[in-house]
Amino acid sequence: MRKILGIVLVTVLLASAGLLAVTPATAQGIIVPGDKNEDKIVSEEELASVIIPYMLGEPEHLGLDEVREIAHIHAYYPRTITDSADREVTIYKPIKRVVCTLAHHIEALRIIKVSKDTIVGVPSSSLDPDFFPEFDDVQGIGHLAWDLSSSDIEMIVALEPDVVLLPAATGPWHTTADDEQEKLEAFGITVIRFTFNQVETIPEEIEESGYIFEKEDEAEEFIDWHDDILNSILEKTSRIENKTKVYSEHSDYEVSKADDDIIAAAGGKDVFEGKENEIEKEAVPLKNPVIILRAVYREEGYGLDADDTAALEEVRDYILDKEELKDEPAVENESVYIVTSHVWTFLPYSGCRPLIGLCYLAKWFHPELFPDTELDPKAIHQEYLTRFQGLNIDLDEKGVFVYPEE
Amino acid sequence: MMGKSGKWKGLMLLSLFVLLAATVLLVGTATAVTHTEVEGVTRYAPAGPAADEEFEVTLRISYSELPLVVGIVETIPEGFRFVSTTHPSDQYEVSGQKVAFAVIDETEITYRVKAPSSGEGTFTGEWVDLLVLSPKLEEGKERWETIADTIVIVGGGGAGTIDEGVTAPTPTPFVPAVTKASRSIPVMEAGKEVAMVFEDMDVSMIALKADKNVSDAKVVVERVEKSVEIPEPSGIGYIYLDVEVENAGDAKIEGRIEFKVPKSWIADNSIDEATVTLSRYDKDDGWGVLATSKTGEDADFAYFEADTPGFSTFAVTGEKNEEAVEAAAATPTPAATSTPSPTTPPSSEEVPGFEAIFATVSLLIVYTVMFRKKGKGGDMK
Repeated sequence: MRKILGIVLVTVLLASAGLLAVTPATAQGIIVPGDKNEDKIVSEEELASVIIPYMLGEPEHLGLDEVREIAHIHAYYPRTITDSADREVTIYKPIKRVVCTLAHHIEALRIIKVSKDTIVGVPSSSLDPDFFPEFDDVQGIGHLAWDLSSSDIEMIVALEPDVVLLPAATGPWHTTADDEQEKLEAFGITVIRFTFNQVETIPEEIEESGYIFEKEDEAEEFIDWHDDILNSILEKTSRIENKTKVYSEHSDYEVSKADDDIIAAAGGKDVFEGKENEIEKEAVPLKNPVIILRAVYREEGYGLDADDTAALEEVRDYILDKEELKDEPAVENESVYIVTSHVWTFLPYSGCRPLIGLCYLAKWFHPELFPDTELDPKAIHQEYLTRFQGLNIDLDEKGVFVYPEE
Repeated sequence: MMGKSGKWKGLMLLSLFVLLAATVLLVGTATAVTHTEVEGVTRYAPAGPAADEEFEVTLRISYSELPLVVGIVETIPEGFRFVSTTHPSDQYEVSGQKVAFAVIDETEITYRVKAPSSGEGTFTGEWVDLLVLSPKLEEGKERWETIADTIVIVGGGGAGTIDEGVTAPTPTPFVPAVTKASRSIPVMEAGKEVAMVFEDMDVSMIALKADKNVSDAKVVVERVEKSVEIPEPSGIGYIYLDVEVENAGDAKIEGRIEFKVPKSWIADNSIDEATVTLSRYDKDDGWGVLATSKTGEDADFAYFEADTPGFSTFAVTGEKNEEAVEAAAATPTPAATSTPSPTTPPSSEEVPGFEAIFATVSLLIVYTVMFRKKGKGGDMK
């Protein structure tokens, strides 16, 4: 009997311990250096109270670097932004530890040149080893940003981040990161929601990120570059009256309304505009598309030799051979194009590079408007990798992202 | 509510205008943490307060832009006593002869000191810019800067004699109350700056630094008329000054001169304020222009400062503002007998600017509202 009671007792204790482990009994809260009254703000009075002992060399005064940190917080914080979930988020001190739950977050922070040391947690999967070669030694925090387990949350909390980045957009199977946000905030952790995967939202997300990470100049440099290219395309496509009819799928007869905007920007019209998920395959011929796009997920991309297009050719041939599409103008003209997740809006496997996908679309839809001399997607891609990602990848040697290129 | 594709359609119609202006829109939407370092702190105090007199000491901080956080510690000489300050009570503290100030977004602080019945003393001070982030060091005062020493001699006109009422040989529109003054410097330590202030003169402050120890030197400052053997400096001349350091032996003395120029002279002569310069005359090399920068202004004067490698005759000059001169020259004088012709409103072809700008600005607002709108999802496909 005692033995049974003992087992029951141990079981209950273990269960309780497990429960406690995910219960935010001791919320971390936000500790702001120099903030004595715990209002998260360093007032003039609080700042003066550390400067004067330092200047007089009084016993146990703070060191110069600590005083300067407090002065910096007084002068430049708090900083409030609106994230992509339309939430106002206030940062009370410089961000020194950030957890990224999506590869896009890491890429965006690299754009604004946030130090790798600041990133203390990264997704456990979906990091392209050729694109993120330096993050092997950073703690993994789970697999999908929209479905973090209790142990993933525990791991994030243990990393003591100043900020956790969660996606704002819906993820696989229309999940949201709302639950993850709620759990993390219960621990007193600041959550900011950005996705960095859409051409029209990336600039503002980068701008806001630049502000809270004190990287305003770096953000501005990228936004200028991004918008110059985007506007050079829009300037031409905005004049097109008869839009190119485009059928875009990411699996056989599965469409997404998230493609509508990027197709429109490139001077096309999604023939299934506003539609989501599966469509009747008989519906496609009725629309008479002159271009067919197929987005594919490929783990490899930057690791492939530049001429290794076999996998993409196979997908294209598969579509060209479809009996039900054989009379469509797109198939007759062989205007079927494959684009990989790397340069598309393919969550969670894409990145901050849909602008490059847009450049290819514009050339495919309207080659007469975008000669190589005016729009060179590969050169833009190369500049992005070198200038904004600091990657030593030569696209003449490595990387396959579209097929055919023209 | 416009759908997403409708939004793009609208966007594309606007894009021609947005193309040129979108970049401009983004500039300055956030406040960058680009702190400009504090350039220096200068102390102003009367050179010769009367015995037992209370006098005011001013610390002026040279800076480029706010925000500003500076720590200052002043050491008042023995025999002198700190009395009060207008600085907020929770932002300073007195400890013996030391007074520490936390200066937050202020560019000038003053405090009052009571002089002893006799004697002299040297005010010393140090400051540190607390908004400059730099590599961590296990440091004490490695990044502290010194404020130039101020020597104060109690009674009898202080550290020098002031010859009041000596007017400049050739009157100019502005003549200061004092045109000649001198200051005694009991001790100058090698490499250590010593500053002295001058009231009611063209020169408001001179700081000296010797390459070796000097005792009982004397500085004499006088507004003079240019002698005939000295050529004209370039530009429009305002005044000439002789500044001599006497009894310095073979020590090399360099320094800084702060001077003021009446705004009325600048305006009356169409002077470009940025060209106001202090030049130094050397009998071998002729006139040499000194790096001059504006340090401040009040209602009547603009204040400037220049570093000088030595002391002799100086000239304050300025250049005419060419744009103002050209504009004045280009202004047509209407003929008295001319008959006004009917005013023809400019057509849009003739004057495209305003309408284009108006349209661009309007469209930018729309662009901002629509294109920057957040919350767009991106479902996995």
